[in-house]
Amino acid sequence: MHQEITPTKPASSDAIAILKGCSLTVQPHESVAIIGRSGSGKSTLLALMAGLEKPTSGHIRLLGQSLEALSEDERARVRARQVGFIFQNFQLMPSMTALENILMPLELFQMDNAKDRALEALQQVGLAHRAHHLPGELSGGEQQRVAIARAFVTRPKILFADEPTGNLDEETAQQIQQLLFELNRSEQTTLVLVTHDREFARQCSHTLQLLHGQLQPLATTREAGHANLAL
Amino acid sequence: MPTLRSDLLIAHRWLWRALKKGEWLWLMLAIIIAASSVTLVKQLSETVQQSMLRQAANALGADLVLRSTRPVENNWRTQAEKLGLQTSQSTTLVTMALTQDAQQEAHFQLVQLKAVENNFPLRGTLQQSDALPFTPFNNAAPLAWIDEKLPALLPLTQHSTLTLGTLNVKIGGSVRLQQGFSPMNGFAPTVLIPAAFLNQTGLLGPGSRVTYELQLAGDAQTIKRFAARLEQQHKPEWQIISATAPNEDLQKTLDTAWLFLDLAALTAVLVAGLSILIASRFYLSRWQSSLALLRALGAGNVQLRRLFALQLGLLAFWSSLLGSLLGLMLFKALSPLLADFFHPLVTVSPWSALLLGIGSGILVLWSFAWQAFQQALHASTTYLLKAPAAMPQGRHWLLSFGLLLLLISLMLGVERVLWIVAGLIVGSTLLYLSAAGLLRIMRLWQGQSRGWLRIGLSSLLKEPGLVKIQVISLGLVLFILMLMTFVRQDLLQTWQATLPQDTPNTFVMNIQPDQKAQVARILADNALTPDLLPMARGRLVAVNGTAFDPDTLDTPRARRLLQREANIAVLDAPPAYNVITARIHRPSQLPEVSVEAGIAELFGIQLGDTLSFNFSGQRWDYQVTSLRTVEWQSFRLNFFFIVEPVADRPLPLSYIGNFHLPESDGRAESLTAKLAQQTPGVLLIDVRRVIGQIQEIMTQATWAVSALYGFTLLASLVVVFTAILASQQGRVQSWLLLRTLGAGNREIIKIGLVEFVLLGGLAGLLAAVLAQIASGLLSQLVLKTDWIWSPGLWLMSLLSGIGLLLVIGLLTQQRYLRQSPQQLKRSLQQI
Repeated sequence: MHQEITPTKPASSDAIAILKGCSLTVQPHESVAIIGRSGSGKSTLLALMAGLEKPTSGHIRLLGQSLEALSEDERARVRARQVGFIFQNFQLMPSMTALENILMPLELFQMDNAKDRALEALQQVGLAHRAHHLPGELSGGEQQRVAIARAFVTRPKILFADEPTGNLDEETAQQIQQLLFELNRSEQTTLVLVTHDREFARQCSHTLQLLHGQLQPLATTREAGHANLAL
Repeated sequence: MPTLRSDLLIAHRWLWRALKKGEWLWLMLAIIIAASSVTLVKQLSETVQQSMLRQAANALGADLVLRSTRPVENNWRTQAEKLGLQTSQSTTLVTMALTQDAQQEAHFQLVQLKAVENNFPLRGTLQQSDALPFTPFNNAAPLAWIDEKLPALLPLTQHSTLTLGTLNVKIGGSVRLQQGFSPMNGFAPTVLIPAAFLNQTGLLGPGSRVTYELQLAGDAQTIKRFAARLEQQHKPEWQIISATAPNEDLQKTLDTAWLFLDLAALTAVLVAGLSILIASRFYLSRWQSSLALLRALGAGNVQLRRLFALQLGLLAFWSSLLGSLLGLMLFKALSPLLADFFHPLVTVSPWSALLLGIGSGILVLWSFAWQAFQQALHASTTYLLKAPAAMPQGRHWLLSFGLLLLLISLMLGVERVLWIVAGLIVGSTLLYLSAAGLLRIMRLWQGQSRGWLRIGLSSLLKEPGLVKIQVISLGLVLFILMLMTFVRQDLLQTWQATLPQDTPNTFVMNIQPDQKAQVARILADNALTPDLLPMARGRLVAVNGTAFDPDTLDTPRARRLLQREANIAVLDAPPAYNVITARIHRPSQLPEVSVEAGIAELFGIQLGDTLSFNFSGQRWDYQVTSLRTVEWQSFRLNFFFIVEPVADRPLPLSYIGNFHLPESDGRAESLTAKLAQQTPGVLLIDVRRVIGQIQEIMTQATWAVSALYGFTLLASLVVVFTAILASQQGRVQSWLLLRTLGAGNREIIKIGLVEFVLLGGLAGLLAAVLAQIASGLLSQLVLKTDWIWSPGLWLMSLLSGIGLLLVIGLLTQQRYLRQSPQQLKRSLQQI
């Protein structure tokens, strides 16, 4: 399982100038952080890697499949069972309870034991007691935990997180970070995240900086591991 | 792999969950309003129409009557029966009835003898009067049922014998006959006998003036087809009388009422459509983010489209079903009221109303939410990362428009769609341009303003797209309400003016010149002083010297009119209640004739033409110097032709007059007897029952129009609420920001006032423009009067727009005015 990005340009014209050519390979079970200033193109890069966006040129291989050759529907099929995504602003359905939000992907793909699995996921993020609360009744940290539970409830092989702690206070942010790394370890999930929090990034096995549209490696507290980065 | 079946299950589940939490509420409400109004109006108008039809049929004794001066060929009866229609035949002739009193003195009276079959009448029942004991007909011994008026004219008891030609009959009872039962009703009292005994009277023979009738009853569609088939024969001796059009003028009035009902339902649907349009914009961002999320989670295009369409479709279906059932329930609740008005109240099957309601609800959702649906479907996953979504393409507008047309044609029929398309295109362009223009002016004003006014203006202009929709829909709603108020008032006034309380309902005619003074005296003794107008019976035989050949005329009505003698008034000038539409100054020495405009059109008569009339064998020429319109349904004395009296033209004159007698007045009977005794040959015709029937129909239609008006008013208020709530989120955000910045209630109220007053004012302005254009067009094209600039209308429109919005503003904003920034933040998440 690996992911590879060579010079990429997203489809939207306003981002052309942002990514000038980056190359990155992520190995299974790694955790990779991409940092950079606001507007540097971090989120766009993440959307390209997750197959949410299609590049106009370059190559992206996700879990052995070349994304640039796939149609919207084919990319959706790749995402369906193997990719999880966590958004900075949680993106929970306001009219669905915490449990229903987690049930959504399971029901969408008619997975077995949906309710048990959703409850288990809620339990894992420590929110079993908030199962029947609407997002509006939850704190920011709780909402993000629900979003995390929704992202990994389908047991994805790779989890993308776009500024997962961007909207949270320091203490809550740390809890969320811990949760993400625990899941990375316990579920053997590859984790690719975007953040501007260097402390958070430092806890990942790799940290890359997006500067002037190019990816540059930063020193990490851990060893380089399976990283295979080519620019 | 997701299938349609599994997606249907998921869609149902998600929709149900959302509904439980109050999601989709405004859309649901709008669909419910649309479906319930269509169902209610359809069921109401069907019931009212069928009840009126049945009432008319009961009065006629059948759904359709073929009246002929020659025997009706038997094959028509056979054909009708093959089609499943009930049939009955009758033969009517005028004869002298003879009876003897206790002193064996003979008494004579002119009567209409009507020989009927056992199943007569096919519709309604003969109302027995209490005057004499009633015995049913049997074919063993001849019996006669006599008109309840006859005992006043002849000394009849239950043991009397009546001699009709060579037949002696016993009296089997007296009956009250409704208008339409007899071809010459009112001229002479009717005597009914079984058809089997008609030959024994010996009255049928060469030269006898007989009217033959084939009466038909059955399924409305079959009757309609059969009537059309009869009409196609163009037989001059036939007159086809249908219960659907007992009276042409009344039919026109009722057509206006039906059109109003249809328009009211269409208005309710369009108004509901507008609220769907607004509500769907309100939900759009939510739909976009949820669809983008589903896409991010890995749902494919087909599945996304299917899931969303299924949810909307299910919402449309269930809400329409609910709305239609609500419409039926409302109808049920109104039924006791209806039963007071209609006798009998015909209960119509609710299925077609239910189906139409459901169909309209579904169509109204799809036509007005289609744009938002497409826009939401195009939301890419990057929407979640805050990238703008693609706008819907032109073809989607076309589809939306197409669905709307389908909806309108479903409700009003295909033939009216062309006009509506043109109206919609012109109307919406005009509306859009006006709204855009008004907003541009606001923007310029914003640049010049300061302080709270500037903040108020900027919060109004924050979402120009939404404000345009708000102004247009509020303006349209106000306009529709004003139009309906105006049309309703006008309709009611016209109806009331058509048949005022003192409408003449009794006619006295066939007064010979030497009887005039005597009749006037008898009437004066009964406190009645009608004008007795001179008239002569005559027939139009030529126009400009060219004789008419009835067989060459296209319309049966024209042929009938030519074959019969008409009542021609002999007066110096037309009565004041006739409206002269065209006149020329006497161009020659010929005496003048004034012609009714409708008949002039029918025969192609122009001003200046020379008309030749045959008055009992004498032919006289007159020149047309004026055309007039006449309100036939007013029951005043009206004539197709009014000729100038000329000293050297001795016309066979008689006199005619009319007056009002209250319904319960007993003078009619005594007058009939007195006139018959002292002035033989003078006829008293009582049309009180007919007028009563028409007045009842008018009351019924008035009631139906008012009920629908009220319903539309309610539906419109919901739209206004939706329109305001659509921008609630932005507004609460502004309050939050202003509160956080330290603004007090005073400032917030001032800013809110600017927004609501301006929104109401702009909508009022737009409504006034539309109303001014509509009233202008109406006065130019329909009423043919001058275009009137009406400042009152502008003022009323502006004030009602502002007033309405202020009340709604107060209702929707007051809870936020009491909230702290933190509470406002929480409220924002719940909107």
